[in-house]
Amino acid sequence: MSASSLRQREGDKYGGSAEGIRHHYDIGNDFWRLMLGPTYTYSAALYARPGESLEIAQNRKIDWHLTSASADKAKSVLEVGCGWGTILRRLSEKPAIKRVVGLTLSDAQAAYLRSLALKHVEVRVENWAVHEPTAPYDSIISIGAFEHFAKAEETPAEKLSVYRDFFERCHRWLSPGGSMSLQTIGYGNMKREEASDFMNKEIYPDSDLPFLGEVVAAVEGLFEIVVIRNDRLDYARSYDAWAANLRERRAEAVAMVGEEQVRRFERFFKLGSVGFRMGKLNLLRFTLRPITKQWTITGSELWGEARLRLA
Amino acid sequence: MRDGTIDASMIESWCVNNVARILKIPKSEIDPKLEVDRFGLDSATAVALIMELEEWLGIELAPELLFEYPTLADLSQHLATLLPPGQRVA
Repeated sequence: MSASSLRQREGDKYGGSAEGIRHHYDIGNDFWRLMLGPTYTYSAALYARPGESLEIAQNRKIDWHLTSASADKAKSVLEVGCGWGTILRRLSEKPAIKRVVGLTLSDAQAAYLRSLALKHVEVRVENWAVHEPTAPYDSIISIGAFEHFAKAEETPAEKLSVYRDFFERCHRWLSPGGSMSLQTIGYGNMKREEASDFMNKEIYPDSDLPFLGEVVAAVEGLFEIVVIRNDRLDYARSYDAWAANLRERRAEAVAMVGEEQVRRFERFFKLGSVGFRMGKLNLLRFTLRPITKQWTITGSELWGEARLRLA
Repeated sequence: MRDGTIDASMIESWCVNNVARILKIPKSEIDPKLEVDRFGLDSATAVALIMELEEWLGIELAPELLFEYPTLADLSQHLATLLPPGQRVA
């Protein structure tokens, strides 16, 4: 099955279902902020020490991705799945930056981000599969979006063709000396069929996780993998931290979204935490560099001191 | 225990009963001195146990407890120390 015939079959849902995204993300920005805390970041943090605060670990994660995408020297950056704009905010403050494009399928996130009116930042409610950039990007960052690209009902071959399509596009959009930072949950020590109905239907409808091998196969010939990490315990700790925030302000949360929704999130965070601790789930972070015929471009900025900070 | 105060042994037998129900296996197959993964508790059933324990005991339990105290005996001992003194069965 080729990406184009799959696209024909799935229509707008190809590469990421807006309906599936809104089911999970558009349940109230205030509720999300209450759980996520001051950085407003809904993806695994990067912990260095026991007892460290979520906020410190989230900021370290943001720094990691900015280094991984060589964002310091970038004039233009694309973020696929921009959430509530933690990365966009940081990028918009960088002196060299001229243009930042954030893609999301969540209307609530886009409305919030537009209200911030960040300098140089354009927020688009748009699937990567239909994105047509007007000029190349120097960096691409995607954190916690890849989990929504494939669907449980797709065959493994179909899944791979979606991932391949994504990386082909990213490769085309990047300037030859650019780089890409990717973070996604992956299936670890479990089978795809073992994924729970609760996660597939109530939490993340229209979504499916990759295996590490599928990501590796999908970048073959397009990107070289500079760094790959599995930080699964970081996600367990992040879930625990969000659960603690929710517990602390439970009455407020119930007033916002109702008892049933709060209970659903309590169960979701526990299930996620246990799944990562068991190794059923992995938290994958990649630094990717586009493969180019221009061999004078070496990516030396990634192989030097930066790599010590990334690996 | 006779007066209804919750102690470690009461928690342990509660755990054995409820794990048997959750896993749909006889109580005799659950050895509280064995790691819980040995008799088939997986992520979904482990979370079910944690959430039911939270409801019964009225305290919040972090999932990592099951990794720090992987047997029902150790878990129960630890949970007993978390309870306010003199807590009774709800």
